[in-house]
Amino acid sequence: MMGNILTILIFFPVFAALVIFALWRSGKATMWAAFVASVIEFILTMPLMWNFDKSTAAMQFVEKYSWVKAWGISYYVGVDGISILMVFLTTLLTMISILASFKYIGKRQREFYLAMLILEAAIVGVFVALDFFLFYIFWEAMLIPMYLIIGVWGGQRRIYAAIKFFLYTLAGSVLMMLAIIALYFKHGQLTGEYTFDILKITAASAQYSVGFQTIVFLAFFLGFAIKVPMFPFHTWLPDAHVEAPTAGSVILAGVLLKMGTYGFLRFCLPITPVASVKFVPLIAALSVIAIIYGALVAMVQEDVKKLVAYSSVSHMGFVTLGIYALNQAGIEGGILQMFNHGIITGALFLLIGLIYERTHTRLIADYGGIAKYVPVYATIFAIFSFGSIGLPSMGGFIGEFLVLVGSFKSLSNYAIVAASGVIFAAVYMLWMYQRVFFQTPNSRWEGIEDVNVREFIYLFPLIILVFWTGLYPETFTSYMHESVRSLLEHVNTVNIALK
Amino acid sequence: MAQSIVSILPEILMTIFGLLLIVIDVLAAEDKKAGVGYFGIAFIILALLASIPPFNGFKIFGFNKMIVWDVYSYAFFLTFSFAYILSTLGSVDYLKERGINKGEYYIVMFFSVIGMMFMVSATDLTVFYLGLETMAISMYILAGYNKKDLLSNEAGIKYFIMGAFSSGIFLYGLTYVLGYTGSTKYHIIAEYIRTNGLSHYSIIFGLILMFAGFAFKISAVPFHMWAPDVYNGAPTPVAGFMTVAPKAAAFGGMIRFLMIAGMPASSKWQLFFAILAVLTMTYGNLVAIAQNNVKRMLAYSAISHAGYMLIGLVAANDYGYRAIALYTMIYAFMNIGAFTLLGVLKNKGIIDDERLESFAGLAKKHPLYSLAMLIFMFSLAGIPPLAGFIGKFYIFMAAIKAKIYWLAIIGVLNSAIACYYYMRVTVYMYFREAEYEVEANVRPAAFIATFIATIVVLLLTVFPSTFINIVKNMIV
Repeated sequence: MMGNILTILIFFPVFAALVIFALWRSGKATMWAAFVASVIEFILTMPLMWNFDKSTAAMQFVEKYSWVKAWGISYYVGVDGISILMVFLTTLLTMISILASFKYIGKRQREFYLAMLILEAAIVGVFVALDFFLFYIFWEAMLIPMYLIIGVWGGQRRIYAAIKFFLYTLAGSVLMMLAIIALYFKHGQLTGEYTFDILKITAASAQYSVGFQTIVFLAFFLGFAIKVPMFPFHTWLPDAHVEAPTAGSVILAGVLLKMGTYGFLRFCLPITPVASVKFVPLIAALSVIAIIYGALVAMVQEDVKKLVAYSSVSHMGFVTLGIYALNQAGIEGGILQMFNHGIITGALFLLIGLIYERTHTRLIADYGGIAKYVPVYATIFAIFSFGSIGLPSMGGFIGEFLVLVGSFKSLSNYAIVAASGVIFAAVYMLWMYQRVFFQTPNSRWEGIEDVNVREFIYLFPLIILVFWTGLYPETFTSYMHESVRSLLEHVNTVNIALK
Repeated sequence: MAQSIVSILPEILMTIFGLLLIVIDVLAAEDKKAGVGYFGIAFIILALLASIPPFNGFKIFGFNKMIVWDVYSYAFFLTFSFAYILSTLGSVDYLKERGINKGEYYIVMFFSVIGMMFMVSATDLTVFYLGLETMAISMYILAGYNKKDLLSNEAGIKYFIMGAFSSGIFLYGLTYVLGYTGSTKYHIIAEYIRTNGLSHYSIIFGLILMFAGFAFKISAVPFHMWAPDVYNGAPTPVAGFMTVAPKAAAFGGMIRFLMIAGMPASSKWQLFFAILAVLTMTYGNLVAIAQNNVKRMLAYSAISHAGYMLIGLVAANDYGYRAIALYTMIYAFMNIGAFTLLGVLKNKGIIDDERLESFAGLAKKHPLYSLAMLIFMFSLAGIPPLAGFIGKFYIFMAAIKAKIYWLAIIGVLNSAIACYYYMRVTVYMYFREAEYEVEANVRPAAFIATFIATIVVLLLTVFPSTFINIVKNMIV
């Protein structure tokens, strides 16, 4: 079974969705069946994590079958230390957000849970694909279920948000398709082998001329920058996050944004290293702008969900800054921060959804002193707020710390400005927390239900994880050491070779 | 002589079958005319199976190099057959519903396929022209087939007048080429151009007129004026057929002409088609956005799809013409599928008319139909993992292989724009509340067509090799 664990991980949710579709007609049955399927999917991720060999940078659990011989396309999957944590995050958050949707999704439940499973399959596919064609298919395929999730089960302006999300991300990635095709022909021309194999195309990157690398880099960059989203391509994000149902927001923030930064790590750096180095000042500047700008905009939000959405822009700025610091600490910090952001922001969206189900408002001004009525909720919210700020002992701290250590080394000016983003984060999170939980209690919320067992069940693993990464990050960073080291080695070799 | 017969064996076979269909039509009872269509489907499948070229690179010339039978012709024959089968299945209920269920409908459509086969197999302009007219006359009849409907009447007449005019232009251009090169045979024309170049005004003039005639047939801008009205007015299954098969035939024939006769001067005509491609894509997409009627929107989108296919022609390499062949095959399934589904929904009374608003809330009451429509829309938009993506991918591969990056970029940006209007249908189906209540009744044939098309569109990305291998072995 370990031989094709990745194929199972990709196709089990699809298979489950088909079976569920065929067997059950009622929304409730579908709901439970989809949850069970997502739990099984998560459990299937465990052997992957345990059997992963941390001492090598090579791709593991590789499967390769010829698919379209005529074009040199193969079904080729594998994981390394960079992607494995993302697979774990995907299956974990999908399971949690399905459980969190039980009450929230009232209409057309069947379609919702089936869409969630299809979405999960596509995202896992993105993180494990080692063939460009396969990768692109998963990358785009994920748009359709997400589009439906936002558009059908979203809030007031859901249609606008769904269309904007879809078109924005699509427009970003179509140029990427051309870049992929260009790489295909370039590799064929240079080596005589026409293939979409990502590893082979990467290995030949020292032979790509600087001009060619620059063009390919820019095409890739646009697609990934929109997905991250980097400033100034971030405008789709607040709309999509705010309008999406809770599960949609969790998956969007927790996993989808990581597809962009994962793209930087897997494609931009290794395939176009020279161009990547050339554009470091630009990307670092955009990252710092995102950190400060996101934080400032978050500060003035009146809607809690929007506040968290903008804080994502700020946090993802740290990730891109870390990656483009181009040293071990920076990149590891970036990856760890991707993971942490998935956990923390995912949890915050879950918490916001949870209270929204009870109060039907998300405006900060409407709350006021609810800590008195929902003490458990307030405590959990506090934990994740601190996590988001980056309080030591929690995951967010280690991630940001590593990013700053890395970027001080190579981009010190940018790092100094970025560090102030940490302070801004404290300002907007604590200020929001104070206004929501600690002001004069609003009698309107008297008697609302506190966190119930089901809700606690899905929040609990996240609480564990946020402390685990904070106190013993080595569990997670140990996966990436070798992969990041070999990535940096490759970038340096190519840069020296082409100088 | 024997070789000549072999080279047109598929056409002979089809003609015999076509004549048989006429006999069957005479024998069939008044209310059983759909049987003619079913026989047509059986016959075309038989003809397909009987005429599989025995090996790769198979090429058999006939009648002193006026016609050729090879894998290339076969690939396009496949497209025509897919189009015929799906449209026929889609037509059965549609015709019954409107009281125009006559056998000749299926027969005329069947004969149009023969014309198309001649267009693609031709290596001589006179044969090409004969095929073109056979195809075109059948199309005029089909467009105006619903004589009780004013729009259909208009479509038939408009198509006929404009079509005859464009045929005239094509023929006029042809005579100039004949006058200059002294032959209508592709390889002799190529010989002349190779030695004398395109310097003489008469050949340039002749070629431009011929290209204009061709651009008319594929509804490329600025020769597209007839298309939206004709597609909109024609009976819905016919519209599906017309947006696919004649277009594929015109492309197939024109590629053969350009690749053999025009190859020595490829750099000259590439620019002409590049401009045509950009105009066609952009215009088709921008105007489609403004449509509120789904059928009309699909009509304009059909124009823009001709633009994408033109990119393959501009590329002027092996990838290019393979891409067009592959694209038309896939396009047959998704576009005819969409039109058939449109016909089904209207027939069953699920939608009142083809306005976008009629689609509101469809997903709630008819989840499977809506899912099929969603799949067709996203496939037409070229979103993976649906089949339309494979077609587009190959087209852009051809452009990049030919190093025409700017055209590829305009192409992908256009497909991003196109997404907007395809998405609007899904927005209405899934995100909006229904406007009115309707009763629906169920009929099978069109359902089968929709089902086949959906399955193919879904599975083609998983198993694209089947079609890709067919086009891969093509040589012009």
